[in-house]
Amino acid sequence: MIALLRYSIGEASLSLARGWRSGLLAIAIIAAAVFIAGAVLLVSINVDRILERLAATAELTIYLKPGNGEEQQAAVAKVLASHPTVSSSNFVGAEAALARFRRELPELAALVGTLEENPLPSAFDVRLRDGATDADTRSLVQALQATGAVEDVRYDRRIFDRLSDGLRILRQGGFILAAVIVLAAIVTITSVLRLAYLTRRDETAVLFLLGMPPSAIRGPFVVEGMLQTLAGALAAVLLLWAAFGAVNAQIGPEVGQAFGTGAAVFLPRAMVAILVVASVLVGALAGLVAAWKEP
Amino acid sequence: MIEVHSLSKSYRPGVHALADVSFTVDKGEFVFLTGPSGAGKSTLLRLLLRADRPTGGDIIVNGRNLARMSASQVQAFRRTVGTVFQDFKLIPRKTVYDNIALLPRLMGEAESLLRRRALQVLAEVGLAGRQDDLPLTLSGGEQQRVSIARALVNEPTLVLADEPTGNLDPLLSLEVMSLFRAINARGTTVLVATHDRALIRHLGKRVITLEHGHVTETI
Repeated sequence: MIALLRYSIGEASLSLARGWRSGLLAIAIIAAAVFIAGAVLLVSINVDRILERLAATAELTIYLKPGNGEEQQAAVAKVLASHPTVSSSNFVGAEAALARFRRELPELAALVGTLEENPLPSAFDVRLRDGATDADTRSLVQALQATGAVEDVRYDRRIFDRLSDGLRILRQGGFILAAVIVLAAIVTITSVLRLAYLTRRDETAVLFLLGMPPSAIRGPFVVEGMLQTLAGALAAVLLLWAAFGAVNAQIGPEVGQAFGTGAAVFLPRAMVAILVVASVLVGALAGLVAAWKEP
Repeated sequence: MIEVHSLSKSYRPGVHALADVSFTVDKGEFVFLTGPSGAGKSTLLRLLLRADRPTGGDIIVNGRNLARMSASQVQAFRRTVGTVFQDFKLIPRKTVYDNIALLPRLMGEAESLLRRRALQVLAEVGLAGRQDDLPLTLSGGEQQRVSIARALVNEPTLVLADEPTGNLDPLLSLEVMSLFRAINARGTTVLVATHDRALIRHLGKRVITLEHGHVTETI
């Protein structure tokens, strides 16, 4: 087994050195495929974090009419407590809203300070139950407006839903693109390895006739495929890391601050390992297919 | 050692490369297989190596029917046979030593033992000290001797040679045949396909003659 492995690695290295141009092409294509798949995952992970953050904040804000008494506030609270669409609600009085405004938007705090009256109304921050539909939300809003105490309703869920939809489309599109390029990479690698196999057909035919086991005939091509895809995958991960660093330096802090998610994150190590191992397995498969037919 | 019963091989319907061929070769025997070009000698050797399947009949080597072997058994069987080709079929980018040692090394032979045996067979074929040469730096006769050394390194009980002197001049042909005689002298069964009648007469061994795919004479 060790002798077979040593022989396969030696022959694969020689073959790569001899056919370095076609090998480079195969490596570039697998690198492109892994880069795109990795980029889609990277964007997906970071947008997911933003969505999680958005989901954790209020989805529905109910602004009460100015000058409402405790009775009207209680009527709204009663609707919120009894409606099945509501997961939780939190009353934010006008003073608390002003304090939150000053805390979260300090650059505008001075402007509010010049006004004689607090311009911010009392409100309820409402979180909806998972799976709440637009119809459920409309029913809730109608019930709230029927109390006569509601000035306005802000529905954050729409933004969240649109971002979710956008992310889903990005994922689907990205993975379709990655799949197409992975397919092209498999075809290219198989062709390159098949060419190497045909170049050495006379040699392998003799060795086969002398009794060389098929595993030893195919071994070098399997290893060559694995080496090519390993190089391609590692190059892609390095490029992705560099691109992530550059983009993150440009827009990372602003995005992180805007959504309160902190710094953007790179792909977890386990995911990088899966990308590399999957690529290497694809290379092994391509080598096996290229040298499957006995000489 | 070898039993061939009613063997036939057709590549196209109605065109027989071999037809109803039967013969036996005893253990330790030296047999020439001769006949004009196209008589079926190479076809017969390919069938004996299971590089082709017969259309009909059986080949039994060492008590085992070649037709009933699995793919892995065929490869294991081939490793027990020393094979020599007319055009040597050496790997040009590998040294003489690597050409000889490649297969046993892959089969897990210890390198020290393998080296000792490879150098020994190289000395037997008169190429001591040439282990680091590349095949293309050797003469035709030397390349054929490397090919014979490769066939011998596994210590086979059977050696099959297909026109081993076909590319050599008469003097080198005699040298190569002397090697086969020496191999046979230590108990190895040798079957040599050749159309060189002078060589056959010179060695004076049993001869099976093929013509148009039929055995016409066994002496």
